[in-house]
Amino acid sequence: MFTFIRKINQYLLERCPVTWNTRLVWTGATAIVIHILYLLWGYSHFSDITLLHQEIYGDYIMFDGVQFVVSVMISVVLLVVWMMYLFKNNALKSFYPQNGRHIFAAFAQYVIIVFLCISFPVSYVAGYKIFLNTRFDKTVIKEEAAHLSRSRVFFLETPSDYFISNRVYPAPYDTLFAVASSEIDERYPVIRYEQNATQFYTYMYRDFLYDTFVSRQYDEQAPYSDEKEITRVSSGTDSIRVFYTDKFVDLSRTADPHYSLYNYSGAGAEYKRYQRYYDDEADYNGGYTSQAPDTMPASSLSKAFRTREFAYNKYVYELLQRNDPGEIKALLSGTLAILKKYRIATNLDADNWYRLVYNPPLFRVDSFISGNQYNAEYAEYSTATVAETVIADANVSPRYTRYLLETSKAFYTLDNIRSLSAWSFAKDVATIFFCVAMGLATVLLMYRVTGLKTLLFTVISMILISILVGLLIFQIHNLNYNYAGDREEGTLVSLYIVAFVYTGIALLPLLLWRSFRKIVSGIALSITVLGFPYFVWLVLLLINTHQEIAVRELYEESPDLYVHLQYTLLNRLAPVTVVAIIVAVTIVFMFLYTAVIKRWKGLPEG
Amino acid sequence: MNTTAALLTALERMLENNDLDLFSRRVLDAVADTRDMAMYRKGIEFTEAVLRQAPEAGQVKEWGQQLLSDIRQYNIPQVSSAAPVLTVRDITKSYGYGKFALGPVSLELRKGQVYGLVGENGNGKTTLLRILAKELSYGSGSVAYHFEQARAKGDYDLRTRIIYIPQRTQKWHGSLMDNLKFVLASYGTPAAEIEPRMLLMVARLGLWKYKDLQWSELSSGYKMRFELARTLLRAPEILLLDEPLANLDILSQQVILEDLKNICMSPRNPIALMLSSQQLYEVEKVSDKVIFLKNGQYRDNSQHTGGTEEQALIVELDTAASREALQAALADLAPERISFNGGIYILTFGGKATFSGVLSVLGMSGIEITYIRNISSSTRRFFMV
Repeated sequence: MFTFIRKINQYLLERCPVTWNTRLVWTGATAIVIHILYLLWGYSHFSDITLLHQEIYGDYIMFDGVQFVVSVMISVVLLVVWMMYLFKNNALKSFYPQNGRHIFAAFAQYVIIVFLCISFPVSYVAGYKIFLNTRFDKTVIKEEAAHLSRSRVFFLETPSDYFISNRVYPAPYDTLFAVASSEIDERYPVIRYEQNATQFYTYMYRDFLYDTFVSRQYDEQAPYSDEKEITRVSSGTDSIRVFYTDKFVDLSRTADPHYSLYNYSGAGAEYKRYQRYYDDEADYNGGYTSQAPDTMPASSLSKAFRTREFAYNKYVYELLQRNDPGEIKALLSGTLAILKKYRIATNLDADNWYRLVYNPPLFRVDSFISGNQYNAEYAEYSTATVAETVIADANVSPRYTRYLLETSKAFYTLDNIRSLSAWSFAKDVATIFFCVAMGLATVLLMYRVTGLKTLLFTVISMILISILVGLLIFQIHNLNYNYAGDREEGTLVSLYIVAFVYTGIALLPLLLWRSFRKIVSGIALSITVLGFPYFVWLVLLLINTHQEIAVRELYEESPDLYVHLQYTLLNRLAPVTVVAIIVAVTIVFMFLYTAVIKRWKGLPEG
Repeated sequence: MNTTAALLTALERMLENNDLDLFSRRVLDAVADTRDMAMYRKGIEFTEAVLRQAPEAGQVKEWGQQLLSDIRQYNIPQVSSAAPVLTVRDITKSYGYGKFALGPVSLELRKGQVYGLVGENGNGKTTLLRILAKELSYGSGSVAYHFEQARAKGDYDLRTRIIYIPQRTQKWHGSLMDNLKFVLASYGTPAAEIEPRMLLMVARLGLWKYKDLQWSELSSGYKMRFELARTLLRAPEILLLDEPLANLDILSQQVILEDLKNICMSPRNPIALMLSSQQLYEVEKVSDKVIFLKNGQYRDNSQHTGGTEEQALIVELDTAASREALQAALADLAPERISFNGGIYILTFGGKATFSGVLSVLGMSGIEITYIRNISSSTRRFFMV
């Protein structure tokens, strides 16, 4: 083994001295081995499938738990040991021939090594993503989600979901809108059942240009409207459709106020946010409904009104109309099988469940099933006598049985599998790790080039310059830009001050490098290199601010102002794209700047 | 400068006179000049065989003859060193008003020549060396480098060719061999040539037995030798050494100086060597020119101090005899001045006195002499007079 290592070392030393010096091969190989271990560790993360039962936000798992702490410790140890070896031979310090390519190659290798040494959590994430992608068939997951969606009318989780106000199919419900109890007009008859109450109205809609609608909201002179708004959906690219209640329709005599399966449309389901698995994905239009559209572009609003609820209620209606016990039993036992597969405990079997839901012809619902452990424990009800319930807790409806059916866990599980098996977020995080690696590599390169003393003075100088520039900007703002209307120009002036200061410092080692002591131009050189990514960001910000000012000047009176503001540079580009631009420009800069670095290194002292 | 023929003749004589240790080192200079890796390997094998097998003198001679006959097969060109490689005109350097100031200094360095730089501490030796190495800026004057290789593309490239070794060298990390190889690899030496070039240099500087040690296991003398090996592998045209003899015993000083002189006088790869030292005698012995700095002012051993010292005989003498006894003994030679610095006497004579005459008179007078030296053309007189 030692002979092998020695042979590789000699090969690198004789043929690629830069790579030998950076210890890329050995540090990289060590880091890759640890990455593989992390991949395996990540792969085993969800071997206990119950971990998927709760809501997991994106890939933040990578920053959570023992694996992250251990990865930080390993990273620190690896980097320290690597640096100890790296600092043993410094070709630049000894004035061995180094061209720009050598210096850049060393920098690129620092980036690779630091990235490999700090990014173990990415492998952990990759590990569990591979696990989820290989262990679970996406088609099966989709089928299971669809099955759960079809069965959810039988979940009996929330009594109000089965109240008449949820019904949107068939006629006359499809053309009516049931208002919430808070919106009830007491002048008309009210349909009440237990603590639920509603009234039905016809509804109408009006289309608005998005920006006209938004600006109207802020217009204090606009006449007061007593129209009751239901919701807003998008209509075309820059228009919205606003729905309002219209005329009262009295259904208090014809509608059955009891809880019934017929009423279930999923409209008020607690886990509505998992709607993508409630119905066919085609039905999910990717948007949201909101009464505050001004913070988001019109295109991100939901594109349809009540379509999903309508479709589901129609499905429920047809299912119950068929009144096929076999079909219903199959749905129930299928759901229980899915729960069993994902190790979600339940004390419910298909027969008991069937007895709870099968009450033709009206399919009324008297007893409900707890969706969580808390409700199940406090509903002191004997499973043998379905009709009796006792109020055990003020927060729990007396209609709850002691049956437990944690369907939310099933939805969480399926949703976690779906979302965690995707790769996009991991790519974003890898980008962040790469940026950190580039930052650290730049500091290392400057340490190698200028030495510790210059680097320390650079840090001190950067702090002092930041304070001075900050004070200057603060003073200029106080004197000139006190009013809200001036804010953007004030921002622009501040950005230009920072840009000019940086440019001045950056020009120092380029133009006046022999006029100052070597340490002074060394500090300027270090600030130039360390600050360059921020300078690129500053340039993008300057362009963006100019665009915003120009748009505001052009469209000040126009209702399209907010639409046009969406098209400025930084609003158009995704954050990852902005980072990619900064990284790419910095890499090109570093490649070109090696000539300046070399020139500075050759300067005599004193 | 040596010609190859002269070197080979000298090597022949060494074999004849059984100066085998000296031959074993010097023959490697001739091997190095062939610039043929096959010859390098033969040179390395020769060194290894001599050190490992401890053969009889006859055997060494036989191997040596064989090596010499192999070297004769090569037509080794000789590089001209008539033109200076470094020209310095009136450079000055000041560390601030009222503080130490160097210069003006003017000098020329030629390849194949050794320049000694002497002077008391704090008189500007290191400053001058650092200016010549482009480590330190200077106030006025000019420094011009005339390298044979392609013109340097900037100060950094220039500094890769002017090698300056400071008085205190830094610790080497890792294996000594890897450090040496790293130099060659960094200088773009083809991979196949790195090992033989390195081993030949190690053999040439007498480091063969120490090549597998760690830096911390080496004595000061061998650390300096390894530093020189690393430096010479960079094939410099100008080599500037600051106090390379410090911390070395007298024998090591002589060996290193002789080695350096011989390597710098290579017909094919001559080097302009300037070294500063307090070891005046040893430095003067190997130097083609000795530069003396006092309070930043330049003087060299071709200059005279003027006045009565013009063509004067100056003798340094250590004796237990009193000044009166000396004056009496030397009365016939009429010394112009007899000065005593507490340890030794400095005797200055007029135009007709000779050193042998002084020796004869002192011998006849029966004065016990511990040490005597003619320093008429030595920079030592600048220290003493």
